[in-house]
Amino acid sequence: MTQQKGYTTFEASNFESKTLSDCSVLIVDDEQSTQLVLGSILGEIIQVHCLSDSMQAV
Amino acid sequence: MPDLIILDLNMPNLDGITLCNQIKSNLTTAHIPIIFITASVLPSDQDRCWEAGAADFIAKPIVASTLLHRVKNILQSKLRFELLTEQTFKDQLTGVFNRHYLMSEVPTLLKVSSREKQFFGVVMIDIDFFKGFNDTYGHVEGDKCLKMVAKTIQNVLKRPQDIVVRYGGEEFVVFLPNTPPSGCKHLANKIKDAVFDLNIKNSTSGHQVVTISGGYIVTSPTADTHTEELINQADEFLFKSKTNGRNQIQGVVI
Repeated sequence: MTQQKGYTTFEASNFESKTLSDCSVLIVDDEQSTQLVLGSILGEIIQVHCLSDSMQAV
Repeated sequence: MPDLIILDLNMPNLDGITLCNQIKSNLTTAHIPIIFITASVLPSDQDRCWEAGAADFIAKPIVASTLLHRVKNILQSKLRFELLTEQTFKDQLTGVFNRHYLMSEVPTLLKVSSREKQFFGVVMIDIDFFKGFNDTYGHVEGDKCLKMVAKTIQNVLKRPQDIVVRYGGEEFVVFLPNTPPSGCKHLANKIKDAVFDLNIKNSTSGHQVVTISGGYIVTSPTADTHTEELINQADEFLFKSKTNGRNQIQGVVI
């Protein structure tokens, strides 16, 4: 229950809390091996996307 | 849009520092944290990364545990910041913007409209007989009603630049940048009709359903136009709608 300018609300919060598993990382590296290593480590906790060409990231 | 970017420092075509600078200079991507990864141990290289706006720096060979912990720390800080920003600027119950947002951001919109010589519309909205509704159906139903009305107002407005603010208990204010008088009047009436069509029972209203009254003002703001002044003027027309029988919109172009 919270106060809003003198008005009491009983409804649950409307805020959406994003969690770690909803997050994504973009790995920009021209070395495929580095992409694989980073991707396999981080893929356990977040979504992983990879780019080899930095121009594509722009 | 990614929540985090991991960049190699040395890449052909476009190196990591240049890419980082580009990301940080773009308003839509500037907030994304960047971690550099490189085999270089030169302090000058590390300095370049920090100066470009890096959130962190990881040297090769990569230690899995360190990488995971650093990424977790950065993302958790970002998530906390995003939640705090939302809590600062949005109304907890309805999810529309709050008065703090109004005072922080709307003056900037007015300045833009003034510079671009565009119309600017303000619509004040108040739910009719809301005290009676709460007294009859209770505050839980009152909260649901507020959420439904807020959602309905948001659904009528299609442009991202249109702003809905919960101004008080059952009062909302809508800001419509770059909207001609006809558009403002049309949207205000569309909101009124959409709330009526929700068909939320209210036995304390003559219409037997929840209705709203609205007052609007459309102006071509100048550098001296203040948000409070426009709200007060729109509020005068809201009062006219109330005294004239409610469930209606009145307004003026100045």
